[in-house]
Amino acid sequence: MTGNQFLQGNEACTYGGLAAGALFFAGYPISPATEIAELCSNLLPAKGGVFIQMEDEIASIAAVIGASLGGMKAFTATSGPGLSLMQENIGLAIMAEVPCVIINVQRFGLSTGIATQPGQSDIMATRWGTHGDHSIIALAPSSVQECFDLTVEAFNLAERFRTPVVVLTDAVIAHLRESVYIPEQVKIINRTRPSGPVEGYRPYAPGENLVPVPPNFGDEYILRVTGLVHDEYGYSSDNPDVGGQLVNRLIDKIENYTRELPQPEYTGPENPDVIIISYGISARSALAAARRIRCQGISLGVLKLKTIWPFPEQAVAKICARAPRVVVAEMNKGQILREVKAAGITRAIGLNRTDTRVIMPGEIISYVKERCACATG
Amino acid sequence: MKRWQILLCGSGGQGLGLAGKILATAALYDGLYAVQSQSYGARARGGYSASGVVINNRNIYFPLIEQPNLLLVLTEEAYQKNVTPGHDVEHIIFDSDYVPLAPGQQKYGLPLARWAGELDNPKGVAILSLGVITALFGLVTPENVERAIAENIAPALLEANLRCYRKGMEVGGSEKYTFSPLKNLN
Repeated sequence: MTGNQFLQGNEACTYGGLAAGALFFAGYPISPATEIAELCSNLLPAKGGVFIQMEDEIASIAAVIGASLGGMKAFTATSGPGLSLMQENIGLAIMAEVPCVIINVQRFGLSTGIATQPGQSDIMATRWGTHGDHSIIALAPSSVQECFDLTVEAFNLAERFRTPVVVLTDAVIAHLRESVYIPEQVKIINRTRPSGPVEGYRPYAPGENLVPVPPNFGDEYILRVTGLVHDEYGYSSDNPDVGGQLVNRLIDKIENYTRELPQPEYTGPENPDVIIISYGISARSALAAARRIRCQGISLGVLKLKTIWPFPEQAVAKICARAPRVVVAEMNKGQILREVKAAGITRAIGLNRTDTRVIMPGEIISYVKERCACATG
Repeated sequence: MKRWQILLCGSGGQGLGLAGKILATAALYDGLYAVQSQSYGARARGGYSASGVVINNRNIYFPLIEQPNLLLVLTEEAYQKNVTPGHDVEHIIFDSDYVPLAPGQQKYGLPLARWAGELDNPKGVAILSLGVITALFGLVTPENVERAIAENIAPALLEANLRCYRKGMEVGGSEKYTFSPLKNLN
C-alpha cells in the first residue's frame, strides 16, 4: 500500500513496520493496540512472513527475540499491562543486543486501568521498567503520519544500535484516522553481518560506534546468547572489569549518538513568551493553542518531542533558552517534566492531566494566560 | 468554510465509527481536510460509543472534537453525555424513538433506527443518518459519500446500505420534514 491513504495510527504503525522490512510479529491482543496484531495477521502471511498470536505478552516478546536472533526483523504491539509483562525480556534483549521493536499504545492508568481510554503515563515504565543500568530508545508519534515514519525509524535504529526500540503512541493517536503519505520506498537500515575467519570470532566485540556484529543463529559463526554478564565471546563472566565494560558499552553505544536520533521540532517565533514542550496527542493541542493565542497578544512556541528516550536534554535546553517561561503539557503526573528540570530548565512547570481526558487547546491557552502572565507583561 | 466538528454518538455496534470514516473519506474526495477519531468502551457491543469527524478547508492542527457544532444522537445515554446545560449545540439530529428531548428545542428528531429496520438493515442506522446529514448541510457531495460507502462496505452488504443512505438523503432533502431553512447554514 503506497501513496495517499486515510489510516488509523495503529494501521500506520503496521504499514511502517512492514515497509521497514519486518516479517515477524508475535503478540497478544490488547486494547487499544489490537488492530496492529489484526492487520499483521492479514498482511504478514501473504508476504511470506510470520504472525503468531502467543499465549501472553511474556511469550510474545520472547518469540520476537527468537525471531530476531534468527535474522528476521521482528516486532510486537501491546499496551501498559502487556509492557509490564514484557519488561524482563526487554532487559534480555538489551543485554543480548537483539534488535526488535515494541509498539506500546498507552492507555489510561496503572495496572489494567481503563482499557479503551488514552494516557501518556508509561514514560518512566518504558525507561526504567526493566531492572539494572541500561539505555533504551523510545519514539513518540503525534500524528498518524508520524506513526508510519517513526515506526520505520524505530526499526532502523533497532538494527543500527542492536537494541530494542519502543514506539510510544496513545489510544487517541492509535484510533485517529488521518491522511498519510506512504512512499514507494523508505530508507532502510539492515543489520551488518560478520565477516572474516570463523575461528576465534567474537560476536560481542565492539565494532564501529561500540556496536558489535553478532551473527544470526544458524550461521557458520557461533552465537552464544545470555542475559548474564558475558565476555566478547559470549561466555558468562563474573569479572568486575568485564561487567563494568559491558554495561558501560551498552549505555554508551546509544547515549553517545543521541544527536543522530529524531530531534525535537520547534514551531513558533524566535523568542516567544512561553514554550510548551509536549509529545503525542498533547502536542497537537499545543500546536493548535499556539496558533489561536497569537491574536491574543501572547507568543507561544511549541517544542514537540519525537525521541522520548534518551531524553534529548541538550536540544531541549538550547531551544528553551529562548523563552522566559516553559510549560510541559502531558497526560500524566509530570514524568517528562522531571526530565526537563533535570536538563537544567528548573523554571519549567507542568500542565498535567490524569483522567483519560485529552488536554484541550483551550486548556493550554487558559493555563498560559493564568500561570505565565508575568512573562507577558 | 467554518471548522465543522461533527460528533456521531450512540451505542457500540451501531456503525458510528464506520460512518465517521465514510464521512471523512468523502470530505477528502471533495478536496477538503478531514480527520476522524473514535472513542468507545471495552464492550464489543452496547455501551457508549462515539465517532468524531473534523472537516475544514484548511489544515487541521487539533484533530479531536472540542465543542461539536453538529451532533448525531442515537441513544439517550449519548444525549445525556453530550448535551449539557450551557453548551448549546448548533445542530442536533436525534433518533426520536430513543432520545427524549424537551419540547420547544430547535433540534431535529427522526425515527432513524426504525427506518433502517424497515429497510431490513437495522445496522444501517448510522449510514442512513449520514444521508440525512449530507442532504441537510451539503458538507460533502453525495456522489463521494456513495463512493466512500462502496469502498468501505463488503459487496454483499452494499446494496442494503446504499438503500439506507438514499433514504436518509430523501428525508433530509424533503420539505415534509421542514428542514429546508437549514440548507444555507454552511
